[in-house]
Amino acid sequence: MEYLFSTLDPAQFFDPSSVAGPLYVFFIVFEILYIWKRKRGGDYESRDTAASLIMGSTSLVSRVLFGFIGYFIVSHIYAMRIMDIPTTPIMLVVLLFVDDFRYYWSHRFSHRIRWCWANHVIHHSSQHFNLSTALRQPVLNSFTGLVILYSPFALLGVHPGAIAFVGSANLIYQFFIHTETVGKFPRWCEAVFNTPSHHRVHHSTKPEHLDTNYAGIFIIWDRIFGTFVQEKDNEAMQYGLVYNLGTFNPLRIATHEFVGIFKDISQKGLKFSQRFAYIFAPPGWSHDGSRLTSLDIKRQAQDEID
Amino acid sequence: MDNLIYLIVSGLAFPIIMYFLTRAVGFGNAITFADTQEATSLLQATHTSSLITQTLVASNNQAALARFQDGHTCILFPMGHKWGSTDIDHTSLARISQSKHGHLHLHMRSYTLPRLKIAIDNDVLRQHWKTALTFGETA
Repeated sequence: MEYLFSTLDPAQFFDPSSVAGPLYVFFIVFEILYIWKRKRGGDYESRDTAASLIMGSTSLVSRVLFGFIGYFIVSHIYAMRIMDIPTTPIMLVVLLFVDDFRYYWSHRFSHRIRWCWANHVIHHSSQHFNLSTALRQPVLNSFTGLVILYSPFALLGVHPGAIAFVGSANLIYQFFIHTETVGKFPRWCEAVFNTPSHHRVHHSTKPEHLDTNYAGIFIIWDRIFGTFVQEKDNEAMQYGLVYNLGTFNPLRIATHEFVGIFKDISQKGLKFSQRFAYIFAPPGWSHDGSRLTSLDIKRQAQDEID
Repeated sequence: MDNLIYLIVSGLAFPIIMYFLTRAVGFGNAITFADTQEATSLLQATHTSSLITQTLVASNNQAALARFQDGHTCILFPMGHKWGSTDIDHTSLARISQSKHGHLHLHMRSYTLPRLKIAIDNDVLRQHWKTALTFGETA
Protein backbone atom coordinates (compact mmCIF):
# COMPACT_ATOMS: atom_id res chain seq x y z
CA MET A 1 0.00 0.00 0.00
CA GLU A 2 2.84 2.33 0.93
CA TYR A 3 4.40 1.67 -2.48
CA LEU A 4 1.36 3.13 -4.25
CA PHE A 5 2.15 6.53 -2.75
CA SER A 6 5.94 6.36 -2.95
CA THR A 7 7.53 9.02 -5.10
CA LEU A 8 9.15 7.89 -8.35
CA ASP A 9 11.61 9.73 -10.56
CA PRO A 10 9.91 10.08 -13.97
CA ALA A 11 13.18 11.18 -15.55
CA GLN A 12 14.31 7.57 -15.06
CA PHE A 13 11.25 6.08 -16.79
CA PHE A 14 11.81 3.96 -19.84
CA ASP A 15 9.53 4.28 -22.86
CA PRO A 16 7.32 1.16 -22.73
CA SER A 17 6.87 1.23 -26.50
CA SER A 18 10.63 0.95 -26.97
CA VAL A 19 10.56 -2.58 -25.52
CA ALA A 20 7.22 -3.57 -27.04
CA GLY A 21 8.73 -4.60 -30.39
CA PRO A 22 9.27 -8.29 -29.55
CA LEU A 23 5.78 -8.43 -28.05
CA TYR A 24 4.30 -7.05 -31.27
CA VAL A 25 6.28 -9.52 -33.38
CA PHE A 26 5.15 -12.46 -31.26
CA PHE A 27 1.46 -11.58 -31.38
CA ILE A 28 1.45 -10.72 -35.09
CA VAL A 29 3.06 -14.07 -35.97
CA PHE A 30 0.64 -15.79 -33.60
CA GLU A 31 -2.36 -14.07 -35.23
CA ILE A 32 -1.15 -14.91 -38.77
CA LEU A 33 -0.76 -18.58 -37.85
CA TYR A 34 -4.08 -18.62 -35.99
CA ILE A 35 -5.98 -17.22 -38.99
CA TRP A 36 -4.13 -19.53 -41.36
CA LYS A 37 -4.92 -22.64 -39.31
CA ARG A 38 -8.48 -21.78 -38.30
CA LYS A 39 -9.50 -20.07 -41.57
CA ARG A 40 -11.35 -17.41 -39.55
CA GLY A 41 -10.69 -14.42 -37.36
CA GLY A 42 -9.77 -11.93 -40.04
CA ASP A 43 -7.38 -11.71 -42.92
CA TYR A 44 -3.80 -10.78 -43.76
CA GLU A 45 -2.52 -9.63 -47.14
CA SER A 46 1.21 -9.78 -47.82
CA ARG A 47 1.75 -6.34 -49.34
CA ASP A 48 -0.70 -4.70 -46.97
CA THR A 49 1.11 -6.24 -44.00
CA ALA A 50 4.53 -5.20 -45.30
CA ALA A 51 3.27 -1.64 -45.88
CA SER A 52 1.81 -1.47 -42.37
CA LEU A 53 5.01 -2.69 -40.77
CA ILE A 54 7.22 -0.37 -42.81
CA MET A 55 5.01 2.50 -41.72
CA GLY A 56 5.30 1.35 -38.11
CA SER A 57 9.07 1.42 -38.37
CA THR A 58 9.03 4.78 -40.14
CA SER A 59 6.83 6.16 -37.41
CA LEU A 60 9.36 5.03 -34.78
CA VAL A 61 12.22 6.59 -36.73
CA SER A 62 10.18 9.77 -36.98
CA ARG A 63 9.70 9.72 -33.22
CA VAL A 64 13.44 9.42 -32.70
CA LEU A 65 14.13 12.26 -35.15
CA PHE A 66 11.29 14.66 -34.30
CA GLY A 67 9.94 13.54 -30.93
CA PHE A 68 12.04 16.22 -29.27
CA ILE A 69 9.68 18.88 -30.69
CA GLY A 70 6.77 17.72 -28.54
CA TYR A 71 9.02 17.07 -25.57
CA PHE A 72 10.52 20.54 -25.93
CA ILE A 73 7.08 22.19 -25.95
CA VAL A 74 5.74 20.18 -23.01
CA SER A 75 8.96 20.71 -21.02
CA HIS A 76 8.72 24.46 -21.52
CA ILE A 77 5.12 24.50 -20.33
CA TYR A 78 6.16 22.31 -17.39
CA ALA A 79 8.76 24.92 -16.47
CA MET A 80 5.87 27.38 -16.00
CA ARG A 81 3.80 24.95 -13.88
CA ILE A 82 1.52 26.36 -11.21
CA MET A 83 1.98 23.45 -8.82
CA ASP A 84 3.86 20.17 -8.40
CA ILE A 85 2.21 16.80 -8.64
CA PRO A 86 4.56 14.11 -7.35
CA THR A 87 4.84 11.04 -9.56
CA THR A 88 3.64 8.00 -7.64
CA PRO A 89 2.26 4.66 -8.83
CA ILE A 90 -1.29 5.69 -7.89
CA MET A 91 -0.82 9.04 -9.64
CA LEU A 92 0.24 7.16 -12.79
CA VAL A 93 -2.97 5.13 -12.69
CA VAL A 94 -5.04 8.31 -12.36
CA LEU A 95 -2.95 9.95 -15.10
CA LEU A 96 -3.53 6.97 -17.39
CA PHE A 97 -7.27 7.56 -16.99
CA VAL A 98 -7.12 11.34 -17.41
CA ASP A 99 -4.70 11.08 -20.31
CA ASP A 100 -7.20 8.81 -22.04
CA PHE A 101 -9.61 11.75 -21.96
CA ARG A 102 -6.88 13.77 -23.68
CA TYR A 103 -6.43 10.94 -26.16
CA TYR A 104 -10.16 10.88 -26.92
CA TRP A 105 -10.11 14.54 -27.97
CA SER A 106 -6.81 14.27 -29.78
CA HIS A 107 -8.21 11.35 -31.76
CA ARG A 108 -11.49 13.18 -32.42
CA PHE A 109 -9.62 16.22 -33.71
CA SER A 110 -7.54 13.88 -35.87
CA HIS A 111 -10.73 12.85 -37.64
CA ARG A 112 -12.39 16.27 -37.80
CA ILE A 113 -9.53 18.58 -38.79
CA ARG A 114 -8.09 17.81 -42.21
CA TRP A 115 -4.52 18.79 -41.30
CA CYS A 116 -4.59 16.27 -38.48
CA TRP A 117 -6.50 13.74 -40.61
CA ALA A 118 -3.78 13.96 -43.27
CA ASN A 119 -1.49 12.44 -40.66
CA HIS A 120 -3.96 10.03 -39.05
CA VAL A 121 -5.48 8.74 -42.32
CA ILE A 122 -2.40 6.51 -42.65
CA HIS A 123 -3.66 4.39 -39.77
CA HIS A 124 -7.05 3.94 -41.46
CA SER A 125 -5.73 3.30 -44.96
CA SER A 126 -5.58 -0.49 -44.70
CA GLN A 127 -8.61 -2.43 -45.88
CA HIS A 128 -7.66 -5.11 -43.39
CA PHE A 129 -8.09 -5.09 -39.64
CA ASN A 130 -5.45 -7.09 -37.83
CA LEU A 131 -2.58 -6.56 -35.41
CA SER A 132 -0.30 -5.30 -38.20
CA THR A 133 -2.84 -2.53 -38.88
CA ALA A 134 -2.18 -1.29 -35.35
CA LEU A 135 1.42 -0.59 -36.35
CA ARG A 136 0.44 1.34 -39.48
CA GLN A 137 1.15 4.59 -37.69
CA PRO A 138 1.46 8.20 -38.80
CA VAL A 139 4.85 9.60 -39.62
CA LEU A 140 4.33 13.29 -38.96
CA ASN A 141 2.73 13.20 -35.51
CA SER A 142 5.10 15.88 -34.27
CA PHE A 143 3.73 18.40 -36.77
CA THR A 144 -0.02 18.18 -36.20
CA GLY A 145 0.02 20.59 -33.24
CA LEU A 146 -2.03 18.18 -31.13
CA VAL A 147 0.82 18.03 -28.63
CA ILE A 148 -0.74 21.19 -27.22
CA LEU A 149 -3.41 18.99 -25.60
CA TYR A 150 -0.74 17.83 -23.15
CA SER A 151 -0.23 21.38 -21.89
CA PRO A 152 -2.88 21.28 -19.07
CA PHE A 153 -1.05 18.32 -17.54
CA ALA A 154 2.32 20.04 -17.74
CA LEU A 155 0.86 23.29 -16.41
CA LEU A 156 -0.59 21.42 -13.44
CA GLY A 157 2.85 20.02 -12.66
CA VAL A 158 2.76 16.54 -14.17
CA HIS A 159 6.31 15.64 -15.17
CA PRO A 160 6.78 15.23 -18.98
CA GLY A 161 8.37 11.82 -18.33
CA ALA A 162 5.16 10.65 -16.64
CA ILE A 163 3.07 12.05 -19.51
CA ALA A 164 5.19 10.21 -22.07
CA PHE A 165 5.05 7.02 -20.02
CA VAL A 166 1.23 6.81 -19.84
CA GLY A 167 0.89 7.94 -23.48
CA SER A 168 3.06 5.03 -24.50
CA ALA A 169 1.13 2.59 -22.29
CA ASN A 170 -2.08 3.79 -23.97
CA LEU A 171 -0.67 2.99 -27.42
CA ILE A 172 0.47 -0.48 -26.32
CA TYR A 173 -3.06 -1.21 -25.07
CA GLN A 174 -4.46 -0.15 -28.42
CA PHE A 175 -2.24 -2.60 -30.30
CA PHE A 176 -4.30 -5.48 -28.91
CA ILE A 177 -7.70 -4.13 -29.96
CA HIS A 178 -6.85 -4.30 -33.68
CA THR A 179 -8.05 -7.82 -34.25
CA GLU A 180 -10.96 -9.83 -35.57
CA THR A 181 -9.83 -13.00 -33.83
CA VAL A 182 -11.88 -12.23 -30.74
CA GLY A 183 -15.58 -11.46 -30.54
CA LYS A 184 -17.01 -9.59 -27.60
CA PHE A 185 -15.89 -9.55 -23.98
CA PRO A 186 -18.26 -9.73 -20.97
CA ARG A 187 -20.79 -6.92 -20.85
CA TRP A 188 -19.11 -5.03 -17.97
CA CYS A 189 -15.85 -5.04 -19.92
CA GLU A 190 -17.48 -3.81 -23.14
CA ALA A 191 -19.21 -1.08 -21.10
CA VAL A 192 -16.02 0.37 -19.68
CA PHE A 193 -13.12 -0.53 -21.94
CA ASN A 194 -12.35 0.02 -25.57
CA THR A 195 -12.39 -3.49 -26.99
CA PRO A 196 -11.70 -5.09 -30.40
CA SER A 197 -15.46 -5.00 -31.01
CA HIS A 198 -15.66 -1.23 -30.42
CA HIS A 199 -12.55 -0.58 -32.44
CA ARG A 200 -13.77 -2.61 -35.41
CA VAL A 201 -16.63 -0.14 -35.58
CA HIS A 202 -14.15 2.74 -35.50
CA HIS A 203 -12.27 1.32 -38.52
CA SER A 204 -15.43 0.41 -40.43
CA THR A 205 -16.40 2.41 -43.52
CA LYS A 206 -20.17 2.06 -43.08
CA PRO A 207 -21.75 5.53 -42.94
CA GLU A 208 -23.19 4.93 -39.48
CA HIS A 209 -19.74 3.96 -38.20
CA LEU A 210 -17.82 6.97 -39.49
CA ASP A 211 -16.32 9.17 -36.77
CA THR A 212 -17.34 6.95 -33.87
CA ASN A 213 -15.60 5.13 -31.01
CA TYR A 214 -12.59 7.41 -30.67
CA ALA A 215 -11.56 6.01 -27.29
CA GLY A 216 -8.08 4.82 -26.45
CA ILE A 217 -8.53 2.62 -23.36
CA PHE A 218 -11.88 3.66 -21.87
CA ILE A 219 -14.94 3.64 -24.13
CA ILE A 220 -16.80 5.74 -21.55
CA TRP A 221 -15.65 8.95 -23.27
CA ASP A 222 -17.59 8.00 -26.40
CA ARG A 223 -20.61 7.12 -24.31
CA ILE A 224 -20.42 10.49 -22.57
CA PHE A 225 -19.86 12.60 -25.67
CA GLY A 226 -22.32 10.79 -27.95
CA THR A 227 -19.89 9.18 -30.37
CA PHE A 228 -20.41 5.59 -29.28
CA VAL A 229 -21.77 2.97 -31.69
CA GLN A 230 -22.17 -0.68 -30.74
CA GLU A 231 -21.07 -3.45 -33.10
CA LYS A 232 -24.02 -5.66 -34.03
CA ASP A 233 -23.67 -9.41 -33.55
CA ASN A 234 -22.09 -11.12 -36.57
CA GLU A 235 -21.94 -7.80 -38.40
CA ALA A 236 -19.85 -7.97 -41.59
CA MET A 237 -17.42 -5.07 -41.70
CA GLN A 238 -15.59 -3.31 -44.48
CA TYR A 239 -12.48 -1.52 -43.32
CA GLY A 240 -10.40 1.26 -44.75
CA LEU A 241 -11.36 4.61 -46.19
CA VAL A 242 -14.53 5.83 -47.87
CA TYR A 243 -12.38 6.18 -51.00
CA ASN A 244 -9.72 3.50 -50.70
CA LEU A 245 -6.19 3.85 -51.98
CA GLY A 246 -5.02 1.94 -55.04
CA THR A 247 -1.46 1.47 -53.86
CA PHE A 248 0.58 -0.29 -51.19
CA ASN A 249 3.47 2.16 -51.61
CA PRO A 250 4.28 3.39 -48.06
CA LEU A 251 5.46 6.78 -49.31
CA ARG A 252 2.20 7.43 -51.15
CA ILE A 253 0.16 6.11 -48.20
CA ALA A 254 2.03 8.44 -45.84
CA THR A 255 1.74 11.54 -47.96
CA HIS A 256 -1.41 11.25 -50.07
CA GLU A 257 -3.65 13.47 -47.99
CA PHE A 258 -0.95 16.13 -47.65
CA VAL A 259 -0.58 16.03 -51.42
CA GLY A 260 -4.36 16.41 -51.65
CA ILE A 261 -4.27 19.44 -49.37
CA PHE A 262 -1.49 20.98 -51.42
CA LYS A 263 -3.41 20.46 -54.66
CA ASP A 264 -6.55 21.93 -53.14
CA ILE A 265 -4.97 25.07 -51.76
CA SER A 266 -3.07 25.57 -55.02
CA GLN A 267 -6.29 25.95 -57.01
CA LYS A 268 -6.63 29.30 -58.70
CA GLY A 269 -9.24 31.83 -57.69
CA LEU A 270 -9.80 30.74 -54.11
CA LYS A 271 -10.30 33.17 -51.24
CA PHE A 272 -7.94 33.00 -48.28
CA SER A 273 -10.73 31.62 -46.10
CA GLN A 274 -11.32 28.82 -48.61
CA ARG A 275 -7.65 27.87 -48.69
CA PHE A 276 -7.68 27.94 -44.89
CA ALA A 277 -10.74 25.67 -44.83
CA TYR A 278 -9.06 23.18 -47.17
CA ILE A 279 -6.44 22.73 -44.46
CA PHE A 280 -8.45 22.94 -41.26
CA ALA A 281 -12.09 22.15 -42.09
CA PRO A 282 -13.33 18.56 -41.74
CA PRO A 283 -12.06 16.10 -44.38
CA GLY A 284 -14.30 16.17 -47.45
CA TRP A 285 -15.03 19.90 -47.22
CA SER A 286 -14.82 21.69 -50.58
CA HIS A 287 -15.42 25.28 -51.59
CA ASP A 288 -17.97 24.29 -54.25
CA GLY A 289 -19.67 21.56 -52.25
CA SER A 290 -18.61 18.91 -54.75
CA ARG A 291 -17.31 16.53 -52.08
CA LEU A 292 -18.82 14.87 -49.05
CA THR A 293 -17.78 15.16 -45.43
CA SER A 294 -18.49 12.27 -43.08
CA LEU A 295 -21.56 14.14 -41.81
CA ASP A 296 -22.85 14.49 -45.40
CA ILE A 297 -22.31 10.75 -45.98
CA LYS A 298 -24.17 9.90 -42.77
CA ARG A 299 -27.01 12.27 -43.69
CA GLN A 300 -27.27 10.80 -47.21
CA ALA A 301 -27.35 7.25 -45.86
CA GLN A 302 -30.02 8.23 -43.34
CA ASP A 303 -32.11 9.87 -46.08
CA GLU A 304 -31.93 6.67 -48.12
CA ILE A 305 -33.18 4.68 -45.13
CA ASP A 306 -36.00 7.19 -44.48
CA MET B 1 22.72 6.92 -33.64
CA ASP B 2 23.07 3.19 -32.92
CA ASN B 3 19.41 3.13 -31.94
CA LEU B 4 18.44 4.78 -35.19
CA ILE B 5 20.47 2.29 -37.26
CA TYR B 6 18.95 -0.59 -35.26
CA LEU B 7 15.48 0.83 -35.89
CA ILE B 8 16.05 1.20 -39.61
CA VAL B 9 17.59 -2.27 -40.05
CA SER B 10 14.96 -4.06 -37.95
CA GLY B 11 12.29 -1.84 -39.48
CA LEU B 12 13.14 -3.19 -42.90
CA ALA B 13 13.94 -6.78 -41.92
CA PHE B 14 10.72 -7.36 -39.98
CA PRO B 15 8.36 -6.29 -42.81
CA ILE B 16 10.31 -8.40 -45.31
CA ILE B 17 10.13 -11.48 -43.06
CA MET B 18 6.40 -10.93 -42.45
CA TYR B 19 5.83 -10.41 -46.18
CA PHE B 20 7.33 -13.81 -46.96
CA LEU B 21 5.63 -15.48 -44.00
CA THR B 22 2.18 -14.24 -45.10
CA ARG B 23 2.93 -15.31 -48.68
CA ALA B 24 4.07 -18.74 -47.49
CA VAL B 25 0.74 -19.35 -45.75
CA GLY B 26 -1.24 -18.21 -48.77
CA PHE B 27 -2.09 -14.60 -47.94
CA GLY B 28 -0.27 -13.29 -50.99
CA ASN B 29 -2.77 -14.29 -53.67
CA ALA B 30 -4.65 -11.58 -55.51
CA ILE B 31 -8.42 -11.73 -55.79
CA THR B 32 -10.00 -12.89 -59.06
CA PHE B 33 -13.51 -12.97 -60.42
CA ALA B 34 -14.95 -16.17 -61.85
CA ASP B 35 -16.23 -14.83 -65.17
CA THR B 36 -17.51 -11.78 -67.04
CA GLN B 37 -20.85 -12.11 -65.29
CA GLU B 38 -19.27 -11.69 -61.86
CA ALA B 39 -17.09 -8.82 -63.08
CA THR B 40 -20.18 -7.09 -64.43
CA SER B 41 -21.97 -7.52 -61.10
CA LEU B 42 -19.01 -6.09 -59.20
CA LEU B 43 -18.80 -3.12 -61.56
CA GLN B 44 -22.55 -2.56 -61.53
CA ALA B 45 -22.34 -2.22 -57.74
CA THR B 46 -20.08 0.81 -58.17
CA HIS B 47 -22.76 2.70 -60.15
CA THR B 48 -26.18 1.49 -59.25
CA SER B 49 -27.95 4.36 -60.98
CA SER B 50 -26.91 3.42 -64.52
CA LEU B 51 -26.77 0.19 -66.49
CA ILE B 52 -23.59 -1.26 -67.99
CA THR B 53 -23.43 -1.26 -71.78
CA GLN B 54 -20.06 -2.97 -72.22
CA THR B 55 -17.73 -5.04 -70.04
CA LEU B 56 -14.14 -5.94 -70.84
CA VAL B 57 -12.19 -8.37 -68.69
CA ALA B 58 -8.48 -9.07 -68.39
CA SER B 59 -7.13 -12.50 -69.32
CA ASN B 60 -6.27 -13.35 -65.72
CA ASN B 61 -9.71 -12.28 -64.41
CA GLN B 62 -8.07 -9.68 -62.17
CA ALA B 63 -9.22 -6.51 -63.88
CA ALA B 64 -12.30 -5.39 -65.78
CA LEU B 65 -13.66 -2.27 -67.39
CA ALA B 66 -17.26 -1.22 -67.75
CA ARG B 67 -18.96 1.47 -69.75
CA PHE B 68 -22.23 2.74 -68.36
CA GLN B 69 -25.25 4.18 -70.12
CA ASP B 70 -24.71 7.55 -68.44
CA GLY B 71 -21.22 7.85 -69.95
CA HIS B 72 -19.22 6.73 -66.94
CA THR B 73 -16.29 4.37 -67.43
CA CYS B 74 -15.08 2.39 -64.44
CA ILE B 75 -12.15 0.03 -63.93
CA LEU B 76 -12.14 -2.80 -61.42
CA PHE B 77 -8.75 -3.88 -60.13
CA PRO B 78 -7.36 -6.06 -57.32
CA MET B 79 -5.94 -4.56 -54.13
CA GLY B 80 -4.63 -7.79 -52.68
CA HIS B 81 -7.69 -9.66 -51.44
CA LYS B 82 -10.06 -6.74 -51.99
CA TRP B 83 -11.49 -5.16 -55.08
CA GLY B 84 -10.73 -1.57 -55.89
CA SER B 85 -12.51 0.50 -58.50
CA THR B 86 -11.98 3.86 -60.07
CA ASP B 87 -13.82 6.00 -62.57
CA ILE B 88 -11.73 7.12 -65.50
CA ASP B 89 -12.17 9.91 -67.99
CA HIS B 90 -10.07 11.64 -70.66
CA THR B 91 -7.77 13.11 -68.04
CA SER B 92 -7.15 10.01 -65.90
CA LEU B 93 -4.41 8.35 -67.90
CA ALA B 94 -0.98 9.84 -68.45
CA ARG B 95 -0.04 7.10 -70.88
CA ILE B 96 -0.47 3.43 -71.72
CA SER B 97 2.55 1.22 -72.21
CA GLN B 98 2.80 -2.40 -73.25
CA SER B 99 5.00 -5.07 -71.69
CA LYS B 100 6.88 -7.65 -73.75
CA HIS B 101 4.13 -10.12 -72.81
CA GLY B 102 1.57 -7.80 -74.33
CA HIS B 103 0.06 -6.71 -71.02
CA LEU B 104 -1.11 -3.13 -70.77
CA HIS B 105 0.36 -0.88 -68.10
CA LEU B 106 -1.83 2.08 -67.30
CA HIS B 107 0.10 5.03 -65.92
CA MET B 108 -2.50 7.04 -64.06
CA ARG B 109 -2.38 10.69 -63.06
CA SER B 110 -3.87 9.86 -59.66
CA TYR B 111 -1.43 10.00 -56.76
CA THR B 112 -3.32 7.28 -54.92
CA LEU B 113 -3.61 4.96 -57.92
CA PRO B 114 -0.38 5.43 -59.87
CA ARG B 115 -0.31 2.27 -61.98
CA LEU B 116 -2.53 -0.57 -63.13
CA LYS B 117 -1.52 -3.73 -64.94
CA ILE B 118 -4.02 -5.34 -67.28
CA ALA B 119 -3.09 -8.88 -68.35
CA ILE B 120 -4.13 -9.42 -71.98
CA ASP B 121 -3.29 -12.38 -74.16
CA ASN B 122 -4.63 -11.48 -77.60
CA ASP B 123 -4.55 -8.59 -80.02
CA VAL B 124 -8.30 -8.21 -80.44
CA LEU B 125 -8.90 -7.85 -76.70
CA ARG B 126 -5.92 -5.48 -76.41
CA GLN B 127 -7.40 -3.25 -79.08
CA HIS B 128 -10.79 -3.25 -77.34
CA TRP B 129 -9.12 -2.21 -74.08
CA LYS B 130 -7.09 0.53 -75.76
CA THR B 131 -10.17 1.88 -77.49
CA ALA B 132 -12.14 1.94 -74.28
CA LEU B 133 -9.32 3.47 -72.26
CA THR B 134 -8.72 6.24 -74.77
CA PHE B 135 -12.43 6.77 -75.40
CA GLY B 136 -12.08 5.82 -79.03
CA GLU B 137 -9.26 8.20 -79.86
CA THR B 138 -6.82 5.46 -80.94
CA ALA B 139 -9.40 2.99 -82.13
